[in-house]
Amino acid sequence: MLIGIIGLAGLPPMNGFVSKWLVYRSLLINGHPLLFVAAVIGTLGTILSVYKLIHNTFLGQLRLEFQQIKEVPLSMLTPMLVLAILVFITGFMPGTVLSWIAQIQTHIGLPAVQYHLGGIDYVKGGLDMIWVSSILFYGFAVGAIIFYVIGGKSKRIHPYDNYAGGHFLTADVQYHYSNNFYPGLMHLIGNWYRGSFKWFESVLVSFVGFAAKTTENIFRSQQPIRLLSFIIVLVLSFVYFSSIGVIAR
Amino acid sequence: MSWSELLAELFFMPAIAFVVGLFMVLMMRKIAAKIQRRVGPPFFQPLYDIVKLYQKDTQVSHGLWHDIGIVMAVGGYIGAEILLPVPGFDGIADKGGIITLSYFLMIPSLGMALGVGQCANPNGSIGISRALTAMLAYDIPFIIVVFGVAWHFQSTSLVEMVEYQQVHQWGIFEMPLLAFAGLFALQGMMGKHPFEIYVAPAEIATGPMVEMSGKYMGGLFVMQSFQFYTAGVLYTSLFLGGGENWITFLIKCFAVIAIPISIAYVFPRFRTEDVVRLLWKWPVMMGLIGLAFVM
Repeated sequence: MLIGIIGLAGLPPMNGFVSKWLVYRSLLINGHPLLFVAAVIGTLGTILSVYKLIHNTFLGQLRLEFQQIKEVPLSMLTPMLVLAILVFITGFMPGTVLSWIAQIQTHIGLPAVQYHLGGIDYVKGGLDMIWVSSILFYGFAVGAIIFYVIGGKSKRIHPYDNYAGGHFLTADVQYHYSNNFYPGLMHLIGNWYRGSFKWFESVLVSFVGFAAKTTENIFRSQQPIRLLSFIIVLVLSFVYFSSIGVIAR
Repeated sequence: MSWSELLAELFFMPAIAFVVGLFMVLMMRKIAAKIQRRVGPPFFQPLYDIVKLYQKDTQVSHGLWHDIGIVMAVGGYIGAEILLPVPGFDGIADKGGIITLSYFLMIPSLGMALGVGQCANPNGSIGISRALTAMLAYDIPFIIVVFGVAWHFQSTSLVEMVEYQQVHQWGIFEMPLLAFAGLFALQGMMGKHPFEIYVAPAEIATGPMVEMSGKYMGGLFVMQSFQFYTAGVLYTSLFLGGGENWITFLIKCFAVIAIPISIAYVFPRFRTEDVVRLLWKWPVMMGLIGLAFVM
């Protein structure tokens, strides 16, 4: 899950980073400051949102009903691992995917991207993901040595066994990060939200109800069997023509 | 680049970063002491702190992510250091560039958030949400500065930026407004007053670090010295012409770090929403005006 999240947020060394790097680099060199800032805000927002996702799933206070939870069976774990490895490999050696992209670019008449196995060659600052990922893993390795080897042995305790200023944490009172997540936002847009969104929701509901009633009335006022066969013919012809269209294209 | 050079670079850059970072921490505490009219700690105090924390008996882990979070926090900075251009060790710095580096700087924040998130401590939760919000706040001016600098030098490679500045003149003279905005962002990035609410170093028992015992806190102290070094070198490479040799280079780095610290200890702290408001207003405004001058 962490690998998927890192790929989604576009952090190195996963695949999302390479594409992000290409986008950023072209925005930088061609001079689009506002688009660049917007893209970075998007990235930061992605990090924040996926952090909430991982926090909801794995971190924070464990609920009472999930205390006895176990790891998923192997048949479910294997595809996830395969996908995670794929995400990592395309990030570690983006040249494997960039060759297809270069082919597409030459086919539609664009200048092909100057790629090699580890990344992209540009005159003014390229990217070599093999180096970047290796450096990052080296950093993690040194960090792990500093932490695990130099540091003593730590004692594993239950997440609830912690110091909260004299309080005792239990599973039934939720204190953690993503609990009651939106009041800040609701405080800002609350009035507006309650007014317009609720109104829009009610409009949508009444419209759908009205449309359903109308359709039902038409259906009942006509010969039902004739209308039903008409609809079936319509659907079948739509499927037929769209398949023809796909083949012709 | 030969294997011996590579190995030397991989070994010495984190080692130098750690030692220099320890000196920077010492400088920070000395400056703080001078401002508060105290004597300040002895020379080896930053190192004593780390050794002491690593030797603690009470080392409590709340789960796997608690450990991995610290490893990510330290490792992200070590990776960032190897990508920084310093005198004599430019070989690997060319492989990444500034975009990669600014992403590397997000990894420690994420690692901290994961590590603290594993403990079900409400104080930790408050700390994470503040830290992630603050990251959103200081990264906007930082990224505007990165854009302006990369556009000005027409390159994303830090090595080329440094070479350009050594031939022409320093970036701070060509882009003063961007340099000032960058200093603002640096203050937020280092988590110093008035933007230090997400670190909350004073609140040991009620802050985000409440569950960090023994080597966990020691790891974070190591991270802090790496962080100081990274911030100083990055700013020096962007605006102060990088390093011709180690002596001038280190003087520049220490000067860069001294500015935010001297500002920090005369200020109280802002609340998180005020941090966001301030960082999105003045440095962003200055950065955008500076960008308009550069483009």
